[in-house]
Amino acid sequence: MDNTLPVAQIPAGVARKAANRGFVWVVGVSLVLHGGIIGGVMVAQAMKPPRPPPTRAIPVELVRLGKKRDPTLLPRKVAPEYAPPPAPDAVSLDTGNKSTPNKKDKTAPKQMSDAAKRLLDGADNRLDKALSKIEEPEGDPDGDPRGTTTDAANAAQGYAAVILRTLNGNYKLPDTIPAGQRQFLKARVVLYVERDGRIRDFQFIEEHPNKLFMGALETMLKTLQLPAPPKDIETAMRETGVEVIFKP
Amino acid sequence: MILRLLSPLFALSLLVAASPAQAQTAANTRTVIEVGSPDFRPYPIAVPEARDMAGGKTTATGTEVTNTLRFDFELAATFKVLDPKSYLADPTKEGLAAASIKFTDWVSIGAEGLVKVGLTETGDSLKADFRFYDVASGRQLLQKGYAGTLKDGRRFAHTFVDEVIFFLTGSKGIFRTKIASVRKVGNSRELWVMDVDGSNLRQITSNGSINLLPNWTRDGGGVLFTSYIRHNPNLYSTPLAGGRPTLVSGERGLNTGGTMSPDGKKVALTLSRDGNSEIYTMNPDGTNLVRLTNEWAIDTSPTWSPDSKRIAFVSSRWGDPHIFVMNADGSNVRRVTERGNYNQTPDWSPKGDLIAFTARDERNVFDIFTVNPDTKEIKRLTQDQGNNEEPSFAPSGGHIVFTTTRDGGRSQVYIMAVDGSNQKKITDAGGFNTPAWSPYLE
Repeated sequence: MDNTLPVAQIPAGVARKAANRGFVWVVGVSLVLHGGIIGGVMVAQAMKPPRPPPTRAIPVELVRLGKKRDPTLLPRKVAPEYAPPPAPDAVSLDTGNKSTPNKKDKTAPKQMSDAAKRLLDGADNRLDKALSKIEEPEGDPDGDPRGTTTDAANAAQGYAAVILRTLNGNYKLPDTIPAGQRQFLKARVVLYVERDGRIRDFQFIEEHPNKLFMGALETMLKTLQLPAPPKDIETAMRETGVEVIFKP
Repeated sequence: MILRLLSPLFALSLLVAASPAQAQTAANTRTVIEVGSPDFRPYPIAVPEARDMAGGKTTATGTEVTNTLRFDFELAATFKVLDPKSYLADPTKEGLAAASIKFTDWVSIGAEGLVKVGLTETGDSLKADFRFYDVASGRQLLQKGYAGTLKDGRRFAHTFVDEVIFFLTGSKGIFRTKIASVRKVGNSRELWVMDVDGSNLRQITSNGSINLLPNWTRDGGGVLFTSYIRHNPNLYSTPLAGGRPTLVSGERGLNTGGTMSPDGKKVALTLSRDGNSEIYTMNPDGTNLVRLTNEWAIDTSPTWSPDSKRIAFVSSRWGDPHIFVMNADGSNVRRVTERGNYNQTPDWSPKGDLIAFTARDERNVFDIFTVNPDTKEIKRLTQDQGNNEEPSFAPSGGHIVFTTTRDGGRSQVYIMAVDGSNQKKITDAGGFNTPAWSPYLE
């Protein structure tokens, strides 16, 4: 005997209830399954040994302050020999107080002959012409006056450039380290930077046996104050840190 | 309906599962910054005049040995040879042994290293005693004795500088290697070979023809070069000791830029036998010719990576000549110089990290640059000193030989450190082209 009812004979309310029960059951099973998957993933991630963070190397150079250089051109060197000469000593202003030069005073300025004046006048004009031809320094409008390259593509940028600039200004090797040993010095340290730029912590990941070198680095890092990192990398600077390689 | 309800749950679960990984990747990219010491200076070393152990007088050999030592230490770039005029000690009175050396005199002038040499000349024979001291501790760090003839004095000095460099750095010195170059002789161009300091210059071809583009064989016993001996630019090999050149490739058209792979198994070269310059490889005996490039443009100047797995070359396939790199079977071609518009004469560093090349800059001057074949980072090595061309790496990868017109007139051979520092002239005669640095010879 067939006890099943024809579909048409099942009351609508009973059918809806049955469908709802099925839906709740499926959702329940789905939640349990997904909860299990999520839990499993989280547990697996928690149990995984921490991997060393991937690194992004930043060149040692800073780009020079100057007009932007066409990035398709080959780079130019900005070594010290190409840097502008130091400013001349201050020139005293003529106050109108004429004093007679002492004949015995060998340092007193000598009177210039007319011929010399004419020669100098001519030289001055030539100098003006030459100066007008001097090119405007190339680099980057946001570069550093002490930058050593015109090549922004190969230089440290953004906060890395800020760190590099600050460290360059603070990194001095002790005079007592012999020159022969200096070229072999090397240390790697991870700096963890607070939101205000203070060094929260630092950790040497490669030390050099030279105690003077390591001592000088530690002293410098303990007192180092960096500018505050930009908002978007605050957490990374605090949690992941930045690795600095000190070498000659 | 159920699927529609479940989809957001799936998406949510995937998001929850993926988020930590993504966040980890972003947060864990740690920046690495290199900071160089601003007050780095090279190792100050004193090299007093070599002492004649028999008579005490300065001999011609002694002067030659002393000058060679001073030149080599300066060229090495990690040393600063102190001015002999500042030396307080009298080299004719001070002995070689530590007990006879007044180290305070050497400390006073700022020396940290001291080289002492004693020579004993008997007729044509020469005995040499070289010592290297640490001035601060007064300790002898190295002593070497050599015996030979008077002609060997310079070689002994080169050998000792190599020994000191190896002692201090653990790296092989370059001062017993050689440089081959082309030089004009009358109406012909012949191959010449010289020591690293430019001495012992000697002609190794004298066929009265045009000989070009020398490149050393792997064992340093010979040189591959292109010559018009048979009126076609064919590739030859000639032994360093002299003798008749051997034909390596005599295909119709150009047979140029022959360069042996570091493992010595292949020769890469440029041939135009099919009408256009293309890169080929062959066995060193000229067999098993394989074409690697097939472009409408000029492909030329091959140079091997140190593992013999890749070849850098010049190609104008994108218009201007640029440096490209491909696998040794011709696959995976990629451009490595993306700046400048005339880049040529590449030479791959034996360290593998750099390719040196000549480029014409926006001022229409030729200068020497390096490019990292992986990062494509370009660095300039020469600037504002005439035209500087045709770089070739030392086997250490730490120095580069090149030609320059900076002195006016005929081009001279110069050597510089790989960062462009310490540029030193090694020739006086002039008229040199396409220098090629040998592999280690001893």
